[in-house]
Amino acid sequence: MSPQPGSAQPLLEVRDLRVSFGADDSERVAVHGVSLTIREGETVALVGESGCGKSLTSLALLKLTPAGSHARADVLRLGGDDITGLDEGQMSNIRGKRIAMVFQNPMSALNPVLTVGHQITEVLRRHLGLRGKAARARAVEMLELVEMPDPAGRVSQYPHQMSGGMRQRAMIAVALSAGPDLLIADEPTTALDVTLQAQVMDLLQRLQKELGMAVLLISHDLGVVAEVADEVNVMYAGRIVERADARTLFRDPAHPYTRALLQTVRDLESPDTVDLAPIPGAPPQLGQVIPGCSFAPRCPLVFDRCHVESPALRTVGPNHEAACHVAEEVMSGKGSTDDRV
Amino acid sequence: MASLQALDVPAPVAKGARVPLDRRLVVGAVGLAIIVLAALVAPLIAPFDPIEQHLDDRLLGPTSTYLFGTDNLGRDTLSRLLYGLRPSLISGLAAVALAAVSGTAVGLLAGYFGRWADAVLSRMVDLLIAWPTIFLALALVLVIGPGQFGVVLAIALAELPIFARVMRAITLSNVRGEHVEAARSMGATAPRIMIRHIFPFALSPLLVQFAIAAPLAVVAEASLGYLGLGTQPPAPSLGAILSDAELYLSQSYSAAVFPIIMIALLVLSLTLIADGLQKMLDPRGAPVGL
Amino acid sequence: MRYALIRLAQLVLMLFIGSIVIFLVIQNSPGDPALIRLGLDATPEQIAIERERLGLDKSLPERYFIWLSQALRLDLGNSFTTGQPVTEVIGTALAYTAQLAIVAAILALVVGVTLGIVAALRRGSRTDVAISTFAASSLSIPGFALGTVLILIVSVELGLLPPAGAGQPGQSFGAAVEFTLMPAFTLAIPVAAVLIRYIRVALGETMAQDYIVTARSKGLKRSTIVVQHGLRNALIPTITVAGIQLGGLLAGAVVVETVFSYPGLGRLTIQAIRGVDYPVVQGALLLAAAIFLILTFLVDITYGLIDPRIRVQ
Repeated sequence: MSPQPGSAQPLLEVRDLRVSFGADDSERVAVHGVSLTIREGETVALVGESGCGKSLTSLALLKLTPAGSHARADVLRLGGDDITGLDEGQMSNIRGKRIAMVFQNPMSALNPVLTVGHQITEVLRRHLGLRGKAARARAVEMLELVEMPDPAGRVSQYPHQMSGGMRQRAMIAVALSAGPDLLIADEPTTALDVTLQAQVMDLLQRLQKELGMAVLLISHDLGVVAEVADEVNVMYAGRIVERADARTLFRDPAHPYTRALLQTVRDLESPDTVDLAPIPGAPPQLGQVIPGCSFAPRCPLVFDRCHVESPALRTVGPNHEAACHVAEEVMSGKGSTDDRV
Repeated sequence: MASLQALDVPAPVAKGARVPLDRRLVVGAVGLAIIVLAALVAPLIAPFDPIEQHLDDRLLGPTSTYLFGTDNLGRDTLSRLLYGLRPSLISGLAAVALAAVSGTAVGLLAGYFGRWADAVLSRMVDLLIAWPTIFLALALVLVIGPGQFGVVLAIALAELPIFARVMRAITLSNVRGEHVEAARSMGATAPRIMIRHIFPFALSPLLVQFAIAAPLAVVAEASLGYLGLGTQPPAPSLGAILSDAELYLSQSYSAAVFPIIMIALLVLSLTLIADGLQKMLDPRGAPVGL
Repeated sequence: MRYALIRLAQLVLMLFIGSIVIFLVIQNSPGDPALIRLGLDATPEQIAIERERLGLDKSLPERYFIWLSQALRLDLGNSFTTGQPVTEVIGTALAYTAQLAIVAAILALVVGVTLGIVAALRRGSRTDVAISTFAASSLSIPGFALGTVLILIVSVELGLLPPAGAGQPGQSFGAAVEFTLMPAFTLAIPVAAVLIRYIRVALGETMAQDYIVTARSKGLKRSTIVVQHGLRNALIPTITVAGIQLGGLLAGAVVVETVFSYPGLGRLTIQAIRGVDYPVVQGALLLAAAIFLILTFLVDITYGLIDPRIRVQ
């Protein structure tokens, strides 16, 4: 029941997603009311440093958050259907078939004692009813699709027999085998070196166009995201602090954190991406409660109101939202670290 | 009779770190203390001579005179148990101590000198690991005849490998460390380095291993005693008492039940100590008992 | 393949070493075999002749090779006690022990693996606590104690099963089972306990791995995930543990057979030792060692076959 191309209805919609650990007094909130809309064929990026809750958010969409956590949302709709109330068995019909996921570390994400072919065919069997020769042939096709060298040979190999890049391709093949409408890619290139990163991102882009798939791309690396994303959501300490289409965000950030992130990308021409070392201070720990805006302790534009009132996500331009009391000043370039130098 | 343990080298607790005393450790220690005390003062508190036979009072259940009843030769079970604790405790303790000392030495040497010393020693230890305690005991008994000494030696040989492996692992991980280099540059001799600079790291893991091996040794001693390979009659040993009693189960089982309870309590106390100690010193290892 | 060959070579080496050890042990046992065979009344001349007949005048290595070649031809001499050929004596005993061991192994595997899986999948629940406590306490009770208690309760009090022996040869299957059940159970319990504890941890850890999350994200059914992804991984090291434990069944049998007066190899060995029946002891130890080593070897090979990381190099 996927939406028709060009329909107004979004593919995936989530409103006010909260993920927390523990209960009552010892409750630690990791994701505070995140909302996302993903349209068919769209690439939506979710960017933020490690620990900001972006992986948890993606897991929550599939109800796969780890044991001991609670995830809830006001709205969780797939293709217009409300899926908040679905139980594990019903969710398992959706996972893999309509929404699939690719993980960061293919060596640990792939089962070491099953062949790559098996890991693909089990999806085919579960969701498409394919068996035996037909399934195997389809598995080889999938490996061809992800540009795996010697697909027919690789199908009976184990993950440890492949290089990192090939493993990542294998994982993508596994995820795409049932033809999902949405692919969630959680840091798909972080474990790879730069050349492979580019290759894998190109592959994802190509596959997306060919298959008409939507992608939720999760990364801590704005550089990776810049090339492929239609819409970018910047996340900090469990909240979305800015959302805009990619071009707008890169040209005209409205949140001090986004601006600092962009600075990092520009300042460092080196191929290695660096996490937010240049911004003084550190992001809040899980469970740490900061009064007012959670970025306040590290913000160059901070003033009194920031410590008291947590800014809500508000519109600051066409298709552009930010959660900052002085978003307009940020957009006009005031107080950027360029000035100070 | 092999024990189930992860062979990761546990992270030693930092010096002076306050670790709360585990409740199991306390309970186990108290239990053990009571048993050891009873064994120590056996001559004082045993109502009868353990080998004295009262042929008119054979196979009695618990009575006011014979608190735990009598065995098939009219010997007071309580007295026999109290005296029978001694070989179990002594053999168990001696065996584990022997295993610990020799195993640690082997592990230190293998880890420190490496290369051929390690190769040879490790091979030998591997050979030992393969053999169940019983086989070792049988072989020894054949050569030196039955008796406590053979039992102690057999159990020691069976437990040696685990100490050797732990010590070797710790030695290997420390032998290239800065403090060892520093000591060497100051002219310290090999024995000194091994003892002053490497061994202290192994204290808590070895202690934990010791505690884990203790109940196994006691069980082994009792089993061997049961088979008649340990302390010879008429001297009592827990296993032997049970073995005698078994023949007359249909007529009286107090002679069997009490040794079983005694053994169970002893093993339980030791296991609790091991668990508690492990929880306190090496939280990552798999628990031994409860 | 190379792996298998290496292990095979090790097996042969260990067998060799084992045979030397056993030989030396027997040779060093107190008592002059010639004297023992002929009795105390023998004259020095008779003893000398007997010694020559037994080959005791030859050098140690010579005697070893003679002994070894005889053993390989299955000529192990005759029992001092009964005069029967040793091969017959230990052959019969072996049959009984094999019966016992097989039943015990099946019991241990079925009980241990099932309870282990249940405990792993319901970690932290009351079921888990119950199973874990059961496993832990079973390990604290020595075999002979457990066996005696069983005899006490089941045979003496309840009269359900015979307390000792193995019954008559040629008896009905049901009767044979009656005799084998309690000893097999006593033998199986410690093995089952170890299996429970191991599987509980192994499967528990496996289910916490990343690839399980991947499997769930693929929408696979829970049973598929537990079996194909969880158990496949967890059972690999479990096989080694199980194998080692089953190898130890032989050692455990010594005690259990004594408790239940079950006429197996273990009990035979103990009796032979006490009765100073050297040929029997020799034969029994040799056989036990061989069985034990071969079992260990088979376990190693199986492990190599099952874990693709080793198999596909």
